[in-house]
Amino acid sequence: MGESSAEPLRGTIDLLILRTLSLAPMHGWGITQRIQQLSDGVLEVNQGSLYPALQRLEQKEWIDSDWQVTDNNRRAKYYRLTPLGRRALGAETESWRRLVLAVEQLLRST
Amino acid sequence: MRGTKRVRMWLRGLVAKRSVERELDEEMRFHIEMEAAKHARAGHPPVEARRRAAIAFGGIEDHKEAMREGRGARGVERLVSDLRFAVRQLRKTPGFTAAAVLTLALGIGGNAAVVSVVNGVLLRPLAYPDAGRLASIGHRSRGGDLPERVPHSSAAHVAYETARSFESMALYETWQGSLTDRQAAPEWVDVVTATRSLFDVLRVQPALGRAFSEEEDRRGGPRVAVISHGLWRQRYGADPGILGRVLTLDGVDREVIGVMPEGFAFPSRAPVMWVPMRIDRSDLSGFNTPGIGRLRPGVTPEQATMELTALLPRITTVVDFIPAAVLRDTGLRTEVRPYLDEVVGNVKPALWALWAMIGLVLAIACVNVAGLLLVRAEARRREIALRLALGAERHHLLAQSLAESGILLSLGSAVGILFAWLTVRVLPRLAPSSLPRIEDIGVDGTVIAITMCIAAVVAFLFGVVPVARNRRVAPASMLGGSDRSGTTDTRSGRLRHTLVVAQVAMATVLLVGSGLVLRSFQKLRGVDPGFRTENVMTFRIALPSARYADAQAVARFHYAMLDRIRAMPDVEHAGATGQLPLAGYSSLIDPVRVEGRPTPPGVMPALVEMRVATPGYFEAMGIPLKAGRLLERSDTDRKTGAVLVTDHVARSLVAPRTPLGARVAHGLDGVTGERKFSDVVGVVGDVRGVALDKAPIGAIYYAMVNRDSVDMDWLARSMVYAVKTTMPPATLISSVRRTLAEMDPQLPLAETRTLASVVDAAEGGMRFSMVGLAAAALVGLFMGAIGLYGVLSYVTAQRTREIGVRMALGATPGTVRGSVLRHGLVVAGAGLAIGLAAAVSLRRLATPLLYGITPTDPLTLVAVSLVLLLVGALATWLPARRAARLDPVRALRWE
Repeated sequence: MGESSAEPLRGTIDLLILRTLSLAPMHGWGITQRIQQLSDGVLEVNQGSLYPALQRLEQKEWIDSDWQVTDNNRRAKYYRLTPLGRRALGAETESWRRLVLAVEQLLRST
Repeated sequence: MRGTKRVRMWLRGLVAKRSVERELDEEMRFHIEMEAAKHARAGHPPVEARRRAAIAFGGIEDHKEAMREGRGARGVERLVSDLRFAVRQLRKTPGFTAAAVLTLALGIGGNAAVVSVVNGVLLRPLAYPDAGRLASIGHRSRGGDLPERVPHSSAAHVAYETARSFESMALYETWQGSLTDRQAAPEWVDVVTATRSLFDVLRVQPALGRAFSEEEDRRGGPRVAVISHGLWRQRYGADPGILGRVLTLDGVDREVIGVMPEGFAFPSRAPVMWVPMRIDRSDLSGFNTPGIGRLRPGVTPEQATMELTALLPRITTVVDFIPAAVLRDTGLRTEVRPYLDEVVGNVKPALWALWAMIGLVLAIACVNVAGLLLVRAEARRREIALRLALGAERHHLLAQSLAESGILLSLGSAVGILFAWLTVRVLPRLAPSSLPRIEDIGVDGTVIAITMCIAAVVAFLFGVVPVARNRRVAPASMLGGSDRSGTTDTRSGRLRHTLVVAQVAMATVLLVGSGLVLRSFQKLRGVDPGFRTENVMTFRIALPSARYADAQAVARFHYAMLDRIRAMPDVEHAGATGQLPLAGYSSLIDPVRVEGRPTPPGVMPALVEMRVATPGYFEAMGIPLKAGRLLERSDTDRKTGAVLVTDHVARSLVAPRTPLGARVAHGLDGVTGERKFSDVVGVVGDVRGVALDKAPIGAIYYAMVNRDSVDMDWLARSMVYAVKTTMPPATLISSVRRTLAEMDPQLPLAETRTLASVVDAAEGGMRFSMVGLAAAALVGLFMGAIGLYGVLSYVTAQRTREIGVRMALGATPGTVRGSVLRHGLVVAGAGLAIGLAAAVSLRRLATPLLYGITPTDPLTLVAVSLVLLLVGALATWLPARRAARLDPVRALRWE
């Protein structure tokens, strides 16, 4: 964890969670690790925003959860993407790309 | 579908809160353990690994709180905990809680009771289909000889035939007759004579059989009757073969053609039979019959009034005895008004006034509780400051305060509604028979809804006020030292005093209102009705024409009956008349003529009551003889009839001629069937016959048989006996019943009651408003006194230290007491002054309830002021005495 790590932008955490879960069902801690891993340690998710976000996504029925046993025999709550969540991921990804492009354009224009 | 999961999670958070929290715990613990394991793998010792993991995770409780907020169940959870907290707070101070709940219960309960009455009597529609379109049809005159309200008449009914405002119109008339048949004992029953159209107007048809046919409603048609469900069940055992049976009403055989549905009543609950009116177009002399009609949809009573008034002059072409000038001279006009108003009558202003008054009681109760809450809020300032310092949010404090007032109001409402329910249950026994629609009064959903709305508004105000009071509590200054050490906060003192002044002012208005009604009642009781009620028993005997064919037979029976009654022990006097004074509207007000004084053409003749009386009646009733002699039995045989006139008639019609020897007759000049003149043999005192608060109108008393002059047998057929006894007549009725059975076993004894109860019933409306207002005023005064006492006690207690200083500096107990007393009286005096001003400005509300006094009756105002100042002084006395007895040393140390 160096100085290079950063909080994800507000609002993008949903996208990150959905993307992570689209690879495989995962528990909360696993999601943080995977995000860190996939972003080469740049993005670090704060627990204070992770769990409320998971709850929010579950309320939207984009993800689902159940209790499973981990590899080393511990009970953990696993989150999984629902078909609705998969569609949402597509839409969110799309809008994120548009946003990035727009910001990029703006920065370049000066 | 999308929402269901959210709702499920929300519900789970509420219902299965424990397991949701446990899962949350486990999930977070797992997270930290995994994090710690990662650190351990990186080479940190276990303790250090755990520490790092915990730091990285951050405040577990914060996260949990965020999750709870996210679940959305937080509001409900907080509400529950606020309510729990409020209950704990209230239980800590049972005295305060009981006082607040009881005060509110009195205010809310009184309101709910009055709302029940208002709802049942004024708001709920009558029990006829689409009853809102029913309207009464009557007439109004400028007053004078004619009563202000003149009922409908068959002539006007015919004149209005073409009116388009009404779908249908009907005439009806209520009377009583004796029902005889082989089925059961003779019965004295209420009967309605009505036109055939009545059932169309009311839109109610018989449940069994049919209503009158056109032929039956014509003179000479078959005699029929429609009976009530109650009569059918009680007298005929709900016999399904009732149709076609013959019953005898006042000696006339009638075929039963219909049975009305259960619960049908018109115009009051009493009638058990409806018979056709059989209006004869060649003789439309029938007057004084009420009218009812069903307005066409969208037509207002005002529009109908206009149309009918325009049609009214036609009456002079319908009948020949009403000259056009009469309409003009009397200012006669049609009056159509909602039939409900007719039913409710003069109770309306009394009920609205009562509601206004009971509203004031509720306001006083609220101010009282607000005062209590305020004091409580002051006492809790330190606690609140502490909680603010510890991070409590202000809106959360507001929520808690609202929860507390909500609980108080809910308890108060519950007790209050129970109280209202009990009141309404005993109301039929307390309220006079003159309170209309008493059977429609009950605590129902509407009443509870209105009460709840009132309570909710009040609860909100209560909850907000104390918080608003503590809004500017600065934690530091409050915690910094003793909050009672200094002089009292002037702002809070002002608010408290405003509340007390408002309370005293409202109590003043209440007292003035009830004082005025009380004085009116006293005046009304002081009115001389013209007769004495002590030890007078009354009852009615009616003779059917089938067995008492003519006037002679009727007179023979009544004289014989009276002779036997006079022979009974303790009986002083006995006599009989057609209708007792004050026992209901006398329908026998007719034009009168004086011999030698023809009414000039086009001038309205004077109207006087036509009464029949036997010898002994005036003595029994204590009606004084002013001149000449009373009626004697031998008057029956006189060649020209003998009559008595009242003072009023002697003075206004016969004077300046001496009344004795004058000759008078009822009826109009030159009308077919003109009655011959009778000799005036005596003058008797005036009697208030219509109402106690209405000046007496003139009357002429005829002997039962007035040969050749007037056909009184129809009037004498049904006579009310008045029997004066030397002591309260307990056993008289059973003796009379025995005697009557001996004389004619088929005759019912009806309307047995004392003369005093007749007068009581006539006072009923005013008695009702008086009792209601007096109760409201007493409760209001009591609460106002408590409010004054409470505030002064509190203020005095707060001034303890100041008083201690004063006493240490040499103030005597006397000056201390005086200063507290003065304080109280200034507050009470301010309230009194405002209250009196308000009472005077509200005088229009009271006017319809008053009799014989003005709404600014000085005696009432002075008495109310004295009572209030006295109560104020009493409420101040205790705190003043306590202050005077303070020990300066203790007071200075007082905290």
